[in-house]
Amino acid sequence: MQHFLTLIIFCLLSLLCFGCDSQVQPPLEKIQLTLWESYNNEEHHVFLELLAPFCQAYQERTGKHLEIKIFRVSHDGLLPKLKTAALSHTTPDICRVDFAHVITLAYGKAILPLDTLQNFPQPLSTYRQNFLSVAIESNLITLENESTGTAETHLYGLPDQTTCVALFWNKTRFEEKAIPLRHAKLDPTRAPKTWEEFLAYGKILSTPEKQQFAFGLRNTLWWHFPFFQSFGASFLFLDSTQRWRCGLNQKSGQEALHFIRDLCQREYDVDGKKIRIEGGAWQSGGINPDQGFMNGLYAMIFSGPWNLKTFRDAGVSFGVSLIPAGSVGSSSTVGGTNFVVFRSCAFPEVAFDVLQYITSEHFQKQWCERLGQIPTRKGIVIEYHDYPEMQVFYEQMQQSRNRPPIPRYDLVEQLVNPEIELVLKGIQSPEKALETAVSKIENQILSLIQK
Amino acid sequence: MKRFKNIARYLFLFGFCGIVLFPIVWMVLTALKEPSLALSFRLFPEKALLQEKGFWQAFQSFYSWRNFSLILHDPDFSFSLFFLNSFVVAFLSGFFTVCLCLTAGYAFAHKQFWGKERLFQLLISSLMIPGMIYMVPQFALVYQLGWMNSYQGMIVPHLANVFGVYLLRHHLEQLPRSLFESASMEGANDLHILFFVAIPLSWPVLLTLFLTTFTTQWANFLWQLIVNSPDSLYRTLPVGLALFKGQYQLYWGAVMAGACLSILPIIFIFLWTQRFFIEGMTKGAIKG
Repeated sequence: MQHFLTLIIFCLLSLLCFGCDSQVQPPLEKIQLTLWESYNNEEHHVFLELLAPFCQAYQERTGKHLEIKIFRVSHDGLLPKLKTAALSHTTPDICRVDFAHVITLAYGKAILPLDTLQNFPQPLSTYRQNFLSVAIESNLITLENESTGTAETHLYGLPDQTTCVALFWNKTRFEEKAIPLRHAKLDPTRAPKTWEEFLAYGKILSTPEKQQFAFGLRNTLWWHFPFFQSFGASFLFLDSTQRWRCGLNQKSGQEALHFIRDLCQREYDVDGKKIRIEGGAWQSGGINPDQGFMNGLYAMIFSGPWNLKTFRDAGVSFGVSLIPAGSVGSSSTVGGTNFVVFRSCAFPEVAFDVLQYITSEHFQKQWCERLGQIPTRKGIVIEYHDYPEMQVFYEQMQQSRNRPPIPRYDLVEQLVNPEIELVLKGIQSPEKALETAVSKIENQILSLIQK
Repeated sequence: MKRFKNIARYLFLFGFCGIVLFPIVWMVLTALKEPSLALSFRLFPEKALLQEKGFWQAFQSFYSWRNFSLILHDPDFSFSLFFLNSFVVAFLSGFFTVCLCLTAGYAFAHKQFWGKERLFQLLISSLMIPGMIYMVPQFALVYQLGWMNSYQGMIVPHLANVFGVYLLRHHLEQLPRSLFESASMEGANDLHILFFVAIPLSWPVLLTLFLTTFTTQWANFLWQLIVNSPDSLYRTLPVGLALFKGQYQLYWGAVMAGACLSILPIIFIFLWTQRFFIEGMTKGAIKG
């Protein structure tokens, strides 16, 4: 009995000693972040796969347990959803949003300026150099600091995807017209390089009796920017009184719109036949440019890298070239998405770490090589084995401009597109249409940002 | 001559049917095409392919069930759950809208109370306010009530249907007043009159209202998107199908396959109730 009691006391003492060992780890601090993204099926799976190692690495680095809850949301309706979520304080910590939405969310004070975070690698001017300028610019937003009353520029997001449009040309349609093209001293094995050449090719490639046309045009400002920009028009500029003005109605803008109108309206006399270059894709009820291109109705269209696989899988023989050059060279319009951190995020520094990882060289290289996309960071060498056309997009990207950094870009489209449609229908002159559009833009949108 | 007229009439009707059915046929064909060929105008494989592979193999490489398989088996797209949610939301919205509009319409048609006409005018004038204006306050209300990610969050805000009240008031006023008076003299209360006189005589209009509400809610996207979080179990079919539309790209084949399946309940309900529907439209809208 005495031995038994001794044994129990010994066990209890041992338990007491070893149980209070200072080596015992405290419970890990748990961090949970919610992330909303709107990738397509293929991108979603690659994203999950590439992001997975981050949490483990983060735990090893900081000793904190990080869980990122990723939710896929539809791209359609995302902005209203975020706005209503902000109203109910149910926004995610991190969200992937369209380039144009960052400014709306920043103006609404829904998202955090990332360069004010403790772990931001200052200075901003150096940090931004890591990214393609057109990609990072969509996140640099100048707002009034309410406490000081001064205008300050901050970084509100990091770009994960960027894209631009280039000229897709149907090789089969060019081959069919090889003889007349050669007669006109045009090379049927390449796309036009200037707008003058574009017109010359267009006159030969259009065969109205077969319902085949040289070009399919979309009537939205975003798709018209390559014309305006290559003709030298600036959407936004500061006048001598330091007020923001819209420059679409300047001479270069008018020339661009005259050119677009001629593509759609003008009938050229070719071999006794009346030829129109554009196939009516811009009209409501017209055949969508992508569909028309795929079915050989339009020999050339503007499109982006997202269609490379679609066209290839459909068996279309096509090439991709730079947007034809105007008086100031070639220029394209930029699109893409950014990751932003919402103000409701409890761990903004951790969220920023996640963003840095998503936009890191390692992540971007794998992402772009696997999905055939343009990296948002500079200096990454991508081997586009499956997507050789991406080199053209990469080159075009260097000659692209971002859409205007103003809130309510959607409203700009709503104001400009109907005016341009009147021009394309021949109801209004380009000068009058642009004057009306500019006046509306200045009154309804630029007045918001004049301060 | 009569035979000629009949042939001409049928030809016209066939032609008209063709125009009406063309989008549906095109939708089905697009859904059945290989995903990469969804935008192709072709209805049959190319001649060269037919010669190379033979008819059956070429046909199989052109048409397949892959789009249907994609939406039915995609782990990110729970079709059956989305479908069930859509059905529950659309059916209950339709049912409760009819109940509310019927009682309100009955009160406006056969009861006398202070400010009746003014109230009705106020309701009618609210039709002039665009629905989007209500969205934010309704959302705030739903959130305050804790109805996010729930059926009631998707159903209750749409039950107040002024058009339905107008339709039923108008219809109930057209019914012979003597019927209501005699029922009342027999000792029937309002509930009895509603159930045994008004409803049996109003089936076509009630079904019309049910159908219009059902189809509207079946296709409702934005509201159902914002009152559900991305992980909600109550997401509906339009919200789910939107996942197949990217920033610049639309997966036409998958969307069309989803659309093919999603119109089935509407086709079924419409075919089942079309007699009443047409009768209801005539009674409620034209005759009134």
